[in-house]
Amino acid sequence: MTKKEVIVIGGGIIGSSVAYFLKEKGYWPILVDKDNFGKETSSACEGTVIMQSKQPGPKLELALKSRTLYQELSRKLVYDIEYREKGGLVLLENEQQAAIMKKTMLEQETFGLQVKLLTIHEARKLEPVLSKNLWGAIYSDADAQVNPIAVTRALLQDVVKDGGTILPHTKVEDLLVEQGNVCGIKTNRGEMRAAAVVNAAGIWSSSLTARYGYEPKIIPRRGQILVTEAFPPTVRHIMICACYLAAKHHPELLDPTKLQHKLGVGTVIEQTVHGQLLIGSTREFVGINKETTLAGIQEIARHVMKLMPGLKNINVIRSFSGLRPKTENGLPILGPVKELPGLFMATGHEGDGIALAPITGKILADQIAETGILS
Amino acid sequence: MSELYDAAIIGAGPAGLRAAIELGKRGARVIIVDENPYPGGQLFKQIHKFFGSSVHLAGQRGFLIGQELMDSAKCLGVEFWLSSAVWGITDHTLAVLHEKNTHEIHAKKIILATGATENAISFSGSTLPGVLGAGALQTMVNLHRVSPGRRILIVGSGNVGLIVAYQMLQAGIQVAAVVEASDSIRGYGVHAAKLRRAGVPVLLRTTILAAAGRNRVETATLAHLDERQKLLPETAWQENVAAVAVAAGLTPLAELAWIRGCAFGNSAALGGFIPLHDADMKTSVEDFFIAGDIAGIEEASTAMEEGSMAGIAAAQELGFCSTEEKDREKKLIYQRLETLRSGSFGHIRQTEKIKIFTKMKGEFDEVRIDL
Amino acid sequence: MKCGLIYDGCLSQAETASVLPAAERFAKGPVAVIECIQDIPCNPCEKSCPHQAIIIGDNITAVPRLQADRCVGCGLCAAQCPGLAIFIVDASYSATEAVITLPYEYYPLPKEGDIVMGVSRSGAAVAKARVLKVRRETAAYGTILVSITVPKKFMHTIRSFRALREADKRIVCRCEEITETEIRLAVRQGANTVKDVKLATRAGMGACQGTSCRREISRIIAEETGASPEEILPPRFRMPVRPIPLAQLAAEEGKND
Repeated sequence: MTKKEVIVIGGGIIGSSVAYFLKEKGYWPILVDKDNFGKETSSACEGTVIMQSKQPGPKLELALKSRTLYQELSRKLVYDIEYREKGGLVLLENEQQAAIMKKTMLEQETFGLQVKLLTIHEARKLEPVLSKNLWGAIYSDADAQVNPIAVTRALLQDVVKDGGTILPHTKVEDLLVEQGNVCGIKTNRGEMRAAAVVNAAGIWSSSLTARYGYEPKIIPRRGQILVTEAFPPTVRHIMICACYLAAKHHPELLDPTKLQHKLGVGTVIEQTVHGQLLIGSTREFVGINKETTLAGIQEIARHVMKLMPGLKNINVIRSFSGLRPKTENGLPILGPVKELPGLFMATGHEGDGIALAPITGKILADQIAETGILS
Repeated sequence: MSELYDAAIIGAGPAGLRAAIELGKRGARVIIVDENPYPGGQLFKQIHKFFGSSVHLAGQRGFLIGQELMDSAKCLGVEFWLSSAVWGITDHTLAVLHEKNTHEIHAKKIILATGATENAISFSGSTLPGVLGAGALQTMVNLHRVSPGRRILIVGSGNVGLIVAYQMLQAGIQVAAVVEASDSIRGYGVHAAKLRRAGVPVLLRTTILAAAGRNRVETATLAHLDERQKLLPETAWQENVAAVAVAAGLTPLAELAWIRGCAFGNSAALGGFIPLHDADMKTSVEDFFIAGDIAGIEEASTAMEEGSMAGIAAAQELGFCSTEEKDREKKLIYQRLETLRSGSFGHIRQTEKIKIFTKMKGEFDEVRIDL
Repeated sequence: MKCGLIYDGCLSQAETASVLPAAERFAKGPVAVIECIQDIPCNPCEKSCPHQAIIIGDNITAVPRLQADRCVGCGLCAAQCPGLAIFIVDASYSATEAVITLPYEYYPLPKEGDIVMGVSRSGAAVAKARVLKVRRETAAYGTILVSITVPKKFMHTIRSFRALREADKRIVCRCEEITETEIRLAVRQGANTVKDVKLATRAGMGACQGTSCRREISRIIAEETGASPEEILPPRFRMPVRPIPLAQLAAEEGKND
């Protein structure tokens, strides 16, 4: 019996991961993208796989599973995905942040995430670039980083190696629907049929099904990020400021009159394998607009200087921005679409797409197998 | 730093200075920003006498022209920010690194006169110290008085290559040869003639294969090309040189115009991608002008004329001069520009410029970077 | 054009997949990859293996089967195979590099430490490789085993090597040290814009942000794809257009609100 084909729309890190795990499950994935692969959000983001930033609950559970999958992938894939378990620090600027985070820490521990509260003195021993004026930090050795461009390419290479098909420059114009069932896609290069279709088109994923009465709300949220020159390893951990988490989980704490909060700036910083720093990020609702702005760039720099004055002489050489697919409840949309049997969604990860890519791929492949579509 | 200027000009070369003068003398409040510690753009390293007509101060040496333009601009109250790099732009705001801090300049009109950057070429050993742009070599020797070594090689026979070769001889540096891949000398014959009289060979259909040395350039390997530009490896030979100066053309320095969202066109004869503009030097973006090499690689004299045009057009939009005055000046400027863009060296640029103006009117598809 | 061993002399993707041991086996250390898929009457590999890891059987036209858990990656089979169809791949060499041991029968022999160009099954340049070991097996009748280190991501792609050529030494992106050969390879694999090349190779990601290499990359793309250089757009320009120290990037707060 020949293997069943499954079409995946969208060649970002999510689509690539879905294709990879489908292939592992014994399907023939066909991955299509309107351009070349990994050119949108997946190459316009940081590479953090942070556990501490995930709201204790289903998201943290998924993230922990995803991390295990990253460990396996980095062993299995021949392409170096630059997965490094560096450990992470959540930076606490004041006692109020510490109080909020202490509560979160207790919840995190019930999910099995080990975290440790450090005084600023202890934190500076780990990370000398930190400011003395901080209150402290929370350390977890579970936080890691990865190169999202490399992950996407590595997954694709493996899909192709095992006989999967990847089709760049293939724009999906419509779904093929017969008797209410999704059985393929119409593209600028003709029709393609398959046993199931997975929509992993990120910020573009809601428009395709609108005409069939299914239109999940996915709002593009812009994140601007700075890139510095390369320099010898100095920033040893992945670091995020607690106000980033406040912005994420406690929007009521924000002062909307401050520029920092208007732009949603919360610092996330990592030094890549190549020595460059990636410093993020803004969180703005500006539609499909990938410009970087003077205000955004300056606000990110201002904030990181407050936290890490030790980096003051490092040159910034570029900024970039990507659009994160945000859903209304902040959780990704994963799984079959009731209204359209045969169609599965894998989208809406907002800023967690890199961390959750492997588990997303695995869940989708498992779900497709469970619905009785034989491989 | 929320000061509002009538016009902010980026680049204090011949185009920027001329624009500043035209605006300044009509009463506009003007600031001119340049990343170099001195104004004049490339003029200050030009120790040779300029071609052109006497209206463009031709016959004078470049650095004197720079001095004269700068003095006029200063007399008119133009504010100068030197050693100040414009690193960003949004709408009418420029972010400038000035005196070790970022300042924002707000201006009603922005004129981009950022000039051009030298093209690099890659060959084996092209990353060795001692391989450098011919313009960079000129700065090193004429401005900073640092010698690259006893004997050098020049790659490229355009005016930049020929002039720099001559100036190296003046500085007491030997020139092993000027090599040129095509089958004729690209720059003015009179510049080449000066070199030939000094015994410097100008080798046509010749290319550089490699530069080599322990920690810096010690030798250059050259070889000839056949009439179809195919390499003839058996002709390869080595020259002992301490530096290889590459004069492979210039590219308009237009990052800020890309970021500001200008529509672009491409013209190989004008140096590659340039912001589309009309005869007033206005781009597709409101209140955003360009002048000089960024609008197509030409000469200092054309840059000055374009700078004047941009300055006058901006002044008219700001209400500092009447439409009649602008039109009168424009006519004179274009009469002079037509002369500068005629003859066997200039007519291609004239044709290409007209194509750019036409594209600007929307008759051709423009080029824009989306996504 | 159809691809596959009988059409172009190179294993197709599917044929390659069929001869590779499991990914888990690669992680454990050196293992033989037997790229012999036709029913040729031949069995020296079976006889050469001291661990009985290769099975052909009495019918010598059978395709050799590798029992990967028995294979220790010694390379004796690779040295004996008359078709030069066996390679030893060691994915455990380092985090980023793998070692490929391959049979070699040309002069001059490479020397240990030489930098060479690793090439694919079709002879296309893939990535630079370093010669780790040059080994002569007495039972191999002169075939030399050469071990080269290659970037891990190319361990299933690189199957031979050649001496470096001029283009392999020409650095186009000097910030990230990316050569003309690497850029040409990326273009041949589908990168047809400057941004695609950047994502594939890192060319243009360094300190100068492509100022010195952008034009050269456009020229190479044009040469490879036949497009006119005028059609090849530069990648998106971004602020800051000059390197600016972090502390100096921000104007004082409040002044630009």
